[in-house]
Amino acid sequence: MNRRHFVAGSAALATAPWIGNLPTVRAQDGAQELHVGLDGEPTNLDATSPAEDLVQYASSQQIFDSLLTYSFDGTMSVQPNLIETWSWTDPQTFTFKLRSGVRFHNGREMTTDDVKFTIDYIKDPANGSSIASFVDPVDSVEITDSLNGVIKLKFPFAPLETYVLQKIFVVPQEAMDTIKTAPIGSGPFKYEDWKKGESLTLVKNPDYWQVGKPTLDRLVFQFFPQYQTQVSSFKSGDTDIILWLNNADADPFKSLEGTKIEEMGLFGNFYVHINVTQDPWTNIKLREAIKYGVDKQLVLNTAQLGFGSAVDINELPDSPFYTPDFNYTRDVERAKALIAESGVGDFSDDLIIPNTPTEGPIGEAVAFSLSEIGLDIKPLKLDVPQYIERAFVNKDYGIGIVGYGGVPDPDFYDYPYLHTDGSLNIFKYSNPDMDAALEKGRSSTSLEDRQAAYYTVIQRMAEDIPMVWLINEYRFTAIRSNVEGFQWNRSKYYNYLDAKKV
Amino acid sequence: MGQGAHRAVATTPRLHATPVRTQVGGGQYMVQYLFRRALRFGGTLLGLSFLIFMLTRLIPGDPAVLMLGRGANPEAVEILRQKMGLDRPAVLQFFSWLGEMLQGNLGTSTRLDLPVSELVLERYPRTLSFVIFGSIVAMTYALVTGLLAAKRRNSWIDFLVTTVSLFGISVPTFWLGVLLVLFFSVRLQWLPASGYVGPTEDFGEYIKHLLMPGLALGLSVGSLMSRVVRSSLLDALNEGYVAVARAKGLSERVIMTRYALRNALVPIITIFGIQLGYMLGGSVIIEQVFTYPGIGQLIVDAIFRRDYPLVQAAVLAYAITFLLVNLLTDLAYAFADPRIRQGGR
Repeated sequence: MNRRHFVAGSAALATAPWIGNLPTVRAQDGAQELHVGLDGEPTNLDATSPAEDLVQYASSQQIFDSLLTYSFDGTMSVQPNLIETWSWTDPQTFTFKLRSGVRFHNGREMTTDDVKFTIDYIKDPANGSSIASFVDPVDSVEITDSLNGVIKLKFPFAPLETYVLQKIFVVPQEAMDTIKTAPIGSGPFKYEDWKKGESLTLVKNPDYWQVGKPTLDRLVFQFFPQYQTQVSSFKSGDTDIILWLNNADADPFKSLEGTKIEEMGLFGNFYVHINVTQDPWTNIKLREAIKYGVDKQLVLNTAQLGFGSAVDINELPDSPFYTPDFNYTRDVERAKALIAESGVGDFSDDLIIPNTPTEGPIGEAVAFSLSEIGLDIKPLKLDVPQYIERAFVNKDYGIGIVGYGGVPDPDFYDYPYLHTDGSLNIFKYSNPDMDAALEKGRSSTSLEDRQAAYYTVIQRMAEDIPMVWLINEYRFTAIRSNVEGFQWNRSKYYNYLDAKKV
Repeated sequence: MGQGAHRAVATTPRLHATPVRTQVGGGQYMVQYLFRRALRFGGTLLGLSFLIFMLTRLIPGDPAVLMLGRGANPEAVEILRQKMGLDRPAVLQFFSWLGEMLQGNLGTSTRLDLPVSELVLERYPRTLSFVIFGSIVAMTYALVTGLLAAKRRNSWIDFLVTTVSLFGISVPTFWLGVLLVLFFSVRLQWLPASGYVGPTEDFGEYIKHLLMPGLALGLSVGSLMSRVVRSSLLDALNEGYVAVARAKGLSERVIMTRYALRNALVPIITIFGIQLGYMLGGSVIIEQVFTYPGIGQLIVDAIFRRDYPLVQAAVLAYAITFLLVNLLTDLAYAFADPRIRQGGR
């Protein structure tokens, strides 16, 4: 054997065991197992502080149970969950009865004590919960017995029932030291293993209170910070679902063999936000010029390839709070005239944008369309924490872009942002009429009273222009054709209770 | 590197009249040499720690703000900042970190509440695995092709090697990575597109997951190295001692390996040392392409999440590796070039 043969032989020998039709790493035991691709890794698995959506997708919604929930049809009506029955004793007293026989994964039965602990824990600023502001209206949780309790409110607050209790996932106090990395909940799936930077494996909770559910034996979340890798993994059969498929891939995936696409407009819009206390944005004519100058169709085409719809107010057409009274069309000439009238003269400013796949392109399109009305507004993409610090904490900016992921109740996205004392009032906006309408909206329980209140809110937004509404968020999900029973809704709740492979 | 040096290396061992004395002197020199290098290592490490710590704090965006998300309000942020110790001046924070570090405590991840040393040590061997694999690929490719090209200079083999190497140097590693994924994972479905499996879990899978990242990293470095091997060898082959060796009737193989290659080693080691550092840096990008959960991905992730203690520890692990590689390169010179170990420079 000469040297050349030796080299060739060793190379062949070395590669032989690795080449061949390699199966992907999968369950070998015929168990029902679903692999779901996420666009990143959750910060941690702490259901009391889901600072980002990924924590809810991978942890809260699967390992834990919320107190109330939504239906998975288009109506998203309020449904019982851990709380089985409830009633309003008066507008500040919410009386509830828990479902009996619900057990945490450590075997202990869940009681009213745990509900009180969870709400108190989220309220405590020292715990740094990202949803602390939601439970701010709660004064106290009173325990009647192990299954019955009362939530006392500081003021009448109807949204407790319509969105707050859907955000509260009950945690057992004896397992708080591992909640970030190996949580114990009462949900349909139990934590099994977290390979950091790679995947999270959950297994079926055989003692789940919804008897016979879940259908899956194992639910594996795989993390893909690089979108293209996620697409390759789906195509090569490593994953069964791409939870968030880019709009650009919607059409190619529709013709991909063995794949189905689901799509919907979410509760959530993107908008231009303006600091109404910073010059020259104090000038209402200038703000009105932005309103008429922004090309929403261009924004829609750039950011979502035309999928979804442009919006003029925050309420969507199927909402009971929707009104067509404040719709308008783009008018470049009017916008230019308004700028001239405003007398602001030549100026330039940065448009601050959180650098995310959707908000980034939206910002560029907005800046471009404003250049068409003669304004020099430069898009400035900031890393998300940097953006939050500037817009939400320091409120040190003139104009920016942001979106919100919502729920079907206007108080959720109106009160904290637009009330003078709102915790998220990034506009530094203050109007007594607006404050009164927002307070009426959250304290009334009758739909008619609330509709009247939110009509005023929408009107004030349209006239005072602290923001300009742009487009409705539209999402696609890619699912392998042999997967059945997987559900999701417009508030980004993902449900695997009935999911199975056929 | 002057040409005279090559000649000296080849001839020195035979010309020394008093080998014993030289050995003693050389040994002392080696101890001094090692001591100086170790001292420099410590000083650089201290300086680096300070730099890493301060640079981490210069990243815009507050960790407390990030933890609280878009619902962050100033009071909640302040309370959390105090709890995380971020309200004190950065220099004070550095000294308490340094103090803790000297006692072996690198800190706790703000994101996961786990010791950062645990997280770094979990990831470190994984990155090392494919960097070592990549180095083997690079070195093997470089030596084989470089030797062939030098030996058959100006032949079609030389031309082919030069062309392929130029391609390897010009193409960015991440692009090569994506091409490999498209070919081996999506089209042929031979290799997994992403992820990692531990060697103790399943050795076959472990190797499968290393193959593409290692190849992507190794081929680009190997291409550059191949050019260096070729030109260093050609330099050496033009030397007088090679002509002498030929005149003495030594075989081409002996001339190539014992004379030419040995003398060409110093520039090869220098470039390889630098390239190994480059590969460590490049692993950050490769890990993103292959979603390979190594230390590069850990750093990128920790930076995005402003997990200061984790960023510090992970970058420090890189820095120490880089310094160690440099130290080893220096020692390898001494091995390759007797003048260094004998105090010649």
